[in-house]
Amino acid sequence: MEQFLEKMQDVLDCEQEVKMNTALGSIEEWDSLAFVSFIAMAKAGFGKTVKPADVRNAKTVEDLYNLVK
Amino acid sequence: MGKAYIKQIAYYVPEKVEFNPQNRLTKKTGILSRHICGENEIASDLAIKACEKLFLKGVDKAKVEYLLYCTQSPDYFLPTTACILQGKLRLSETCGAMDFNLGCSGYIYGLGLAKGLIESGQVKNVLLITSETYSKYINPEDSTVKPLFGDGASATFIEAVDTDKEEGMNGFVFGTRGNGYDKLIVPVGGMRNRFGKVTIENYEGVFGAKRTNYDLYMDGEAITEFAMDVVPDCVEQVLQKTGLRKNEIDYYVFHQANKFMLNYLQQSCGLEDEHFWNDVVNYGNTVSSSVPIALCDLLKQKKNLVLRKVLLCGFGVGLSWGGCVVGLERYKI
Repeated sequence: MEQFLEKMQDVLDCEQEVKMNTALGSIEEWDSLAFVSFIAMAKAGFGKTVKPADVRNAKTVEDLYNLVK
Repeated sequence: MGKAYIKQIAYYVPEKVEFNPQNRLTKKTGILSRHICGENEIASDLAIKACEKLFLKGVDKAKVEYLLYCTQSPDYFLPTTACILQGKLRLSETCGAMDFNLGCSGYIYGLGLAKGLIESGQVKNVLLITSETYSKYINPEDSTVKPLFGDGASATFIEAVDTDKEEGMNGFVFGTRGNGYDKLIVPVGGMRNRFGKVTIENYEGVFGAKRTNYDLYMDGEAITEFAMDVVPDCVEQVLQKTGLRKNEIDYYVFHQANKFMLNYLQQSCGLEDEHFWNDVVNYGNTVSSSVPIALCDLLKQKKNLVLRKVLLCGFGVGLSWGGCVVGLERYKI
């Protein structure tokens, strides 16, 4: 989980600390670029192929974690 | 007959340089600037400049027996741009010439065709040219796609070498996912939607990025998903075909899409400890020229390295991909 948060920090490349319960809507950097980065990170870091639709439905950082764990 | 070898590579990028804004996108993609052709400069003009550099490096143009030209920006619908190039480059009239339309996977396909032509004894050498000017297809107000692509051209001379050794160019792997054709596309201008007969439709995407159906469209999410899906398998298949282990490859040179994409691909292919080329800083994504430009720079920068086995992989528009291993020990710097 810690590893995931570290990778998310990199994906988002933002100042604020990313936590599991952080709402994606509250992160200014959660944009199309971070979206694409997340899809790539899920595959590279966790070997998971995530569907863009599932990523779009995610509300919190934890929802994203559930897609790759 | 002999084996087909890469003997020489040259490239040309237009003089005009465009700098990307210092923002998040630029930080992630690693593309600080790109070369963009002038208003009246087109892909075949860049191709000629790349060939002139190749001839200056010692390739005898009178010897060229076949010209392969990879572009998606032809001079005309017809005739074949490669024929125009044969004339302008003053190549022999006994030289074969043809175009093929591919993007980021094009260089690998070109090498595969050249190998076939040479090793089947049809010709002794091939001049493989790639040239692309996506800047002409991209809407100037498309702030999400414009900073990614740069214009450029390359010229590679491939020649038969008499040798019994299993070297040259090997392990070719090809792949196509044609139902993803609309993920990277210029919708209007060909026969399906003819220029001037289709109403202009305006689209506005994220960050106020503007484009019309006459401009290049790229679905970044779909392309990322595609690349992450096919590239690791492609690399694995090339290694299997050549019987090589990961650490027996002297250098990995993938299509130079952008920095973060290449980082993730390196990870998902398990190549963190290998020599892996990642340099988009001053060129951006030059489509079919990105692999030969990278090879040329690699050969210049790493003069002391012996590059007997370089694994290449291209992927993108089509959707199309390809991979192979090339030996560069016959390359004359």
